[in-house]
Amino acid sequence: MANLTILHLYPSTLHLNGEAGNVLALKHRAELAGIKVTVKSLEIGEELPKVRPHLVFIGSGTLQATLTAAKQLVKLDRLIHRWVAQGTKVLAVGTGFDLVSQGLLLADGNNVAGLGLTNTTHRITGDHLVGEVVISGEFAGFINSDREISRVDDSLALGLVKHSDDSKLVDYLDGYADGKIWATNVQGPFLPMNPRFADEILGAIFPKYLKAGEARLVDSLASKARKAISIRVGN
Amino acid sequence: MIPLAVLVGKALRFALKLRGGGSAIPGGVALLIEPKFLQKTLGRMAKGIYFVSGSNGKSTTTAMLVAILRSQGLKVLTNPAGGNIPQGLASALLADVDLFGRLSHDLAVLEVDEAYGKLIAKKVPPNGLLLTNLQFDQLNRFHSPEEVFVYLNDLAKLTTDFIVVNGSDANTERLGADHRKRLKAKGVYVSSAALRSAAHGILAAPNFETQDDQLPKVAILKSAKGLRAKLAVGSKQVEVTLPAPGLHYAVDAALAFGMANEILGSKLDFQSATKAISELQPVYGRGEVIDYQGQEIQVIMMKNLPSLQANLDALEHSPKKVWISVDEGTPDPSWIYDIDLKMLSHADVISGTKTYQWASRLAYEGKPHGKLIEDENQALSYFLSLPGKQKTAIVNYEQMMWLRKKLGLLDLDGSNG
Repeated sequence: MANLTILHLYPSTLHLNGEAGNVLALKHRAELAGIKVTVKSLEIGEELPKVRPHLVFIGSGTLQATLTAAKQLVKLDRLIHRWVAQGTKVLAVGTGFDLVSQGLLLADGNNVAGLGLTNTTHRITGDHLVGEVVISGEFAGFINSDREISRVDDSLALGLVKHSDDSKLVDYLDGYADGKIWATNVQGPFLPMNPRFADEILGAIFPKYLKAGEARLVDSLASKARKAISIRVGN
Repeated sequence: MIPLAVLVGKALRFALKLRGGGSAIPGGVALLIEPKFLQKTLGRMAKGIYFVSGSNGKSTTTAMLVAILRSQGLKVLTNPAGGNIPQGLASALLADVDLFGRLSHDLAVLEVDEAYGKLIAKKVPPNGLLLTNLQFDQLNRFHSPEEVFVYLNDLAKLTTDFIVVNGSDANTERLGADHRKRLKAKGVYVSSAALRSAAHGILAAPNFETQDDQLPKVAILKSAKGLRAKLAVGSKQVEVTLPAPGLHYAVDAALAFGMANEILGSKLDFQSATKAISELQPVYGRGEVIDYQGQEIQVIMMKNLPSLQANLDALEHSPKKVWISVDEGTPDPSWIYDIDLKMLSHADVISGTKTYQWASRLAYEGKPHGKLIEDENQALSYFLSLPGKQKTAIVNYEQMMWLRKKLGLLDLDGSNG
């Protein structure tokens, strides 16, 4: 039986809006596929686990929570880069995307360094985009963000965002996915709503991963949840 | 302009009542006719104006504080639950004012919305402010508890005499401490024994700055078990029966006693105050059990993560027949993934526009669900047809209001829902 170790970074700090659901979805699908899953949490101030995890998960937080986490992450920067070079994958959701980016420019002009795992640079605009979204006609979720994301190139973006308020979004690209790092500005339980995304991550970790037949129930419910959002968004 | 505002407002209020249900519209119109409507009515209170705000527990704490003050022989003006925005408040006042905007009350205790509270306070600054807590709530509206902190701070700035806060909540304790130079600031604290009585404690939002904010204690919640709560208020020991079981209601009672103590000082008669709280009925949807055609429907409100978790923590047994119904009043129920569902074994029926989000949540947790019926009317009929007399409805605020109306219970006035 294969083993999957997930390291959940700072779950007590970065838990704004149901981000733990992403770990739950990965665990659920992996276990259905016969993979033994171990989830380890690393809280601020705790010692790092000695064994390299297959996946590092970073959730979302308030601005103060994100800045608190950023200060801690600086200390793990080299280690996480080494892990990624050795095959560890990273999933970042919501403001976790800021933390894996090149950096976050604050409203006061200060810059907060990110882990530099994506080719994106983030800026706080103070103008929140709030509401249900559909990305590339495929993924769905809820965005609640005042970040502007600049990219070196668009090819690794997750996709174009469709929101019910079109006036707010002109060619707004969300996320990042390069086969090692996955990130989205959509907060909350992104994987439970979009299980194909979870399968993509599990497939990258385990090349022989095959979705279990028993995943049909959540797949069907998630599909209907996405469809309901898609109708509301007017996609 | 006051007589015109009162006349038009009262007429509108009467007409809308005939159509069934209350509304914030009459108050809105009265404010349009007389922008100083709140100052000219509320501003005349002989014994002051007191505000209650915070993320959760506002309605229950306000009801408890009003009950205590009324038990002391005072004539207390208050706004019904939900009438906590300027228009809703004005609507509520229309019921009580005479043609010249006069009120016959001694003092006012008003529940105010975190964000709109400032608008009311600018017109009628409160003598005292009670802050219940700062929790994760309405992120689609507030974005973050840190923004709510700023709103509550603005409210404290407009307060003139004193502030009482939940001292066991790091954010409200900080708010009390930040204003202690200008205002008399007191804390209501929850003992560690009481904290342990609920699986997830008081569910406060975190505060990432550390400093010593300890405030003088006006009340301590010593223990909470089911419907019983033991408090220490000053040198007095008090034991009260709560309107519904749960640590959150016990904290509300401690906050109400603490605030009453600050308003009345040594004049507070504890015996009648304790009796008043113990006789209090639950506020709409807060631990309420609705009797309907021989069935007892327990309403569990999922206003936000802390409210649902606190209500689930207060359950003694897993509910046997469960209906979950959530509509667009909760634009983003993502936080249900942060809820510990230990007390929930299944759902018999799920409805509302968020049906499939809730069903997915249960499925990922390996908990079974029965019928998925998006239409809440059909879902309610099905739920009522299920065998059994004791049932549980887990609903958001809007569905709770709809359900109460549907089951023939009276609506409240000046609702913001």
